[in-house]
Amino acid sequence: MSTDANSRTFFKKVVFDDWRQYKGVKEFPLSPDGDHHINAIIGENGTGKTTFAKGVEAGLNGSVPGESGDNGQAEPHVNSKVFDQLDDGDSSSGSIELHLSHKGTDYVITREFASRKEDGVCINSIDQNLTVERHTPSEGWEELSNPSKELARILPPEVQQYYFFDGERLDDLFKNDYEDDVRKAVWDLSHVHVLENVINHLRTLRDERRRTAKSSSGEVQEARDERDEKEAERMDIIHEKARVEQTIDEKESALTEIENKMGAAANDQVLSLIEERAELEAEIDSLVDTEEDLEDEVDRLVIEAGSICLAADALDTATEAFDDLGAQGKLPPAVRRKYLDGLLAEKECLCGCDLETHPDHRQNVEDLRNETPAINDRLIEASYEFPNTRTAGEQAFADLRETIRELRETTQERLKKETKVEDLTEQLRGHNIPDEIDLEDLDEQRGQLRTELRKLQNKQGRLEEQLDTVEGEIEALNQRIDRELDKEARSTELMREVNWYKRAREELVAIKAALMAEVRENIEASIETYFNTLTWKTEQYDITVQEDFCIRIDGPDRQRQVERLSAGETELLALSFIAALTEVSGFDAPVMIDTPLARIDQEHRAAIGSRLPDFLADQQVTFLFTDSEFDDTVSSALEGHLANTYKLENANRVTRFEDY
Amino acid sequence: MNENINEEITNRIENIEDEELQSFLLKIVDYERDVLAQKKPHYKDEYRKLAKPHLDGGDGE
Repeated sequence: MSTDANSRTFFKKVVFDDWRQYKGVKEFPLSPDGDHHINAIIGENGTGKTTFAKGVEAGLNGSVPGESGDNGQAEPHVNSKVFDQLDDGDSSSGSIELHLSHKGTDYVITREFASRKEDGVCINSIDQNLTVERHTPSEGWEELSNPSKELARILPPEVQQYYFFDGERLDDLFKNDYEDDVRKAVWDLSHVHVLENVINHLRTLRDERRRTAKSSSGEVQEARDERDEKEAERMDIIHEKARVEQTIDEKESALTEIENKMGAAANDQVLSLIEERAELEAEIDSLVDTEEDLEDEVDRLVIEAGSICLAADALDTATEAFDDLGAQGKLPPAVRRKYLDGLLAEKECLCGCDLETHPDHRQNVEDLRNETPAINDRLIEASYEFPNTRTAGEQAFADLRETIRELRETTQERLKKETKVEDLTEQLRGHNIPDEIDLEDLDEQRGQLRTELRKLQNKQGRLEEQLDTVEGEIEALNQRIDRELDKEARSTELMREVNWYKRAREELVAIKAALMAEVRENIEASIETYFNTLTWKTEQYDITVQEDFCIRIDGPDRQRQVERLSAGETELLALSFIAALTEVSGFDAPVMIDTPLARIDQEHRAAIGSRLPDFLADQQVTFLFTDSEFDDTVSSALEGHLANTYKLENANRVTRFEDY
Repeated sequence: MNENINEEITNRIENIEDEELQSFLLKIVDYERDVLAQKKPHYKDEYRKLAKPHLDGGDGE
């Protein structure tokens, strides 16, 4: 403790108030003094050594180690003599105070406990809400608002097992399958869990972003394939339409040629019939076009009038409701509040005068505005639109009836003209024409051509409709491609994020592996140094911490199995391991070991005891010795290093102590 | 090795050549240290917030 003692963490004092054997207030000063960094508390079995260690741990953690807390059969937390004097239903309480110095700042950790007698049995409790007071030169003593967090920062609960030991169980650390315990200890003390947390979080984030990227990846190619298919379909239609149009041209030429032949060979009467029939046919074509237009109009009107008809009742009800509101003055029919607000903003009256110069007009407009209910603009719109819609629906019905009538008349007119054409055709075919001209045959050919032409023209119309549809679909697909491209860009961005986390994680995995290897090597070197320093044997041991945290001990003659070491050797290894962990991690905490030499046989106890001062020379170490452990050899070995030494004695269930 | 492994972690990150990545890693490791000291909220929001300036500025490669 000589080097920079103020920066270390150590107990300055432990104070028990009615804690088990420690009846009343018992105060144990423990501060180190220069190179004197070891405290020895000595007592026979049953004098309160383990109670002392348990008291310190209970003060820190709020529970007594090794005790299940089964109330009823538990040893009272308060002094048993005090407990015996309790009446049934009464309780008694006490406290544990730990005075700690951490990096030059003083703390007092206080935890209270109680024992209650119920039906003659003991019910123990330890207050989970401890208090932590801190002393600073500027502020003096202050109670911290978040004591548990502050204590966890100074002495994290997960590492306390490496600073507070029961010597009789110290060799448990190196029982079968000890490798996992060693790995966990290295892990807990080496801060590598910070890296592990980052690595795990980066992996989670990477996987999550990757899933999101996958779900939002664009289907550009699929949309492009569909668009290309439609484009091919469009080209097929265009080619087909061109072929039909060419055929129409050919048929029209053939028709003209036949009609020319018929005209050239015919007399005036026949020509007159041909002309009359041609005029009728032109009129029929025009009527067919009119019929198609009227049919389209009927379709449109059916949709318009039909939808309004379906909603007619609702429209009527709403209109009546609006009428009622209007009658109550709640729905201004003509002047809207918004309009009046606009006038006030523009400073212009309804009459056109300037409201700035005519305050009386301004007042009138404001009054009118204030009388006008502030109702939603949409409601006002609806009050106008609903009756209009109803009227529009009725008009659409009237138009529909008129259009159907017109269509029926047009059809009748066309049918009449077609009958007349048939009559004229009969007449034409009955006339005599020069021998070389077969008028009947020509006219049949003409009729056939006209039929074919009509079919071709229909087909041309259908192809034009198909072309419009396909071009609309192509336009929609192009828009979809744009959207998919946007999604793909988003997905690319997400994949950049995925790649970023991936690279960050890879770097940290490499750092962690290198760091763990280095920590392992340093622990290995440190264990070896401590083991060879503490051992009573003259030979040197070569100690290796393997990748699986298996510890290998090579002596000059043979390799030793950790599991087959003697109890003394195992304890030696445990002490060396603890010292190595502390040294390598740089973590700083006071060490407390109950009965450190209990498992060491008499022959070797003196040898280890004489070397204990070299153990953790920079930290406060408190040993709780039995009388037999603290023999002359150990006592003289520690003499120049002891800071505080106390002798415990127990009489009549009460421990007393004095300087040794 | 440094006496303090936390410092060693920082040193090793500072040796990473890519300064953008180095800066990001230092920030998230610092953040995790604060989390362990129970000072910070959920990590995902914080990581994404810390990654954003690096992703906006570079190509993330």
